[in-house]
Amino acid sequence: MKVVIMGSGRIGARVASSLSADGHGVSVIESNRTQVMNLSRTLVDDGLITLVIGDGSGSEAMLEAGIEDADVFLALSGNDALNGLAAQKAKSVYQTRRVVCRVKDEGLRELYTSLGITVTSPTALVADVILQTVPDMPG
Amino acid sequence: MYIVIIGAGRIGTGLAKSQLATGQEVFLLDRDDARVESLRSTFGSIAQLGDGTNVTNLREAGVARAGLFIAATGDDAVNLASCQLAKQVFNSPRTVAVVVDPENAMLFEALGVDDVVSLTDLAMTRLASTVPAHPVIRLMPLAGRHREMVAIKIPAGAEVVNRMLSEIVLPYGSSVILVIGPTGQTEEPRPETVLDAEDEVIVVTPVEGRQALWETFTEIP
Repeated sequence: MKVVIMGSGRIGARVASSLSADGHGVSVIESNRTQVMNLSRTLVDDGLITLVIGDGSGSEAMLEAGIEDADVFLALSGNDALNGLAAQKAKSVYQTRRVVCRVKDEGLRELYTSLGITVTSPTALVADVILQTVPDMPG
Repeated sequence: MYIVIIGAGRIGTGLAKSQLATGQEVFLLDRDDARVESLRSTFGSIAQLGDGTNVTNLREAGVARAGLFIAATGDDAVNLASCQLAKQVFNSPRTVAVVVDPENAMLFEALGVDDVVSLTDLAMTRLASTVPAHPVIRLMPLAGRHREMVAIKIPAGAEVVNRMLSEIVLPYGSSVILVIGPTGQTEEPRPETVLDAEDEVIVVTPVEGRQALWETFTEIP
């Protein structure tokens, strides 16, 4: 499977490494050179992860990352609006089959879900996990 | 009309001032404290600190009763998200987004923004019109981006020279709205108006008719 990831923060970098280890073709788009440090140097040097430095929602970077024949696009930067734009672009312009968008804001989560994008909210996930560790309180 | 503007930069602030002057009710949201304070000190409570991509902030700004919603921050992605929220959550009758990247203009309209203003396109059009002897000058896009107003200079020896307007077959949907002579005198076009070399015609045309239009007025037999 071919996966294009936007954003190489801690989450993006970790997802990239895992997918690559599972044998998937992975490209990562990142605009900030310091964020690139999060990516595994060996995987990039060995060509297992293709790194594209550029504007994550710009066509140039998306095309260079191979969005046209990607099966999955993951918008995982820390910027909700940018993730939303890139995800909608992947879906409507490049017809990427599966598009996932990371969103912190609850209102935007509802908006993007209603537009047919799979939304994941790390904040909500962490909250759920923490709540599960709290023993049931007597009613 | 009540107008909500996201982004109190040069564009948002300038627009707010011009609309206030014509008696409209205006409200601005911006993430920058200094900008908001400066507006409030001059105009009172027409601005508030807030994020155009946050539903609560939009609700507090009264987007639900706004007749017009304009997202004019310098961030294309924020402008899209704001307009989409205004439409989806508050049923805004009309949303307008400013874009810096011209690539986003068509995309944002396809994604539901009612009107997109591309700063780069506007600047490029204006700059191109300063180049002498430019064949077709795009004067302005018209509503919906599918039509535009253009200016074409008729070269000496063109097939249309000495022809009446009624004899000239224009691309479907195009119409001549003004004829400007070489010394700048304007003439309201009538069917019997005769075109001359060096005349400039101002035409409203569907965007896809631009090339055919240019050929019609400049082809030399």
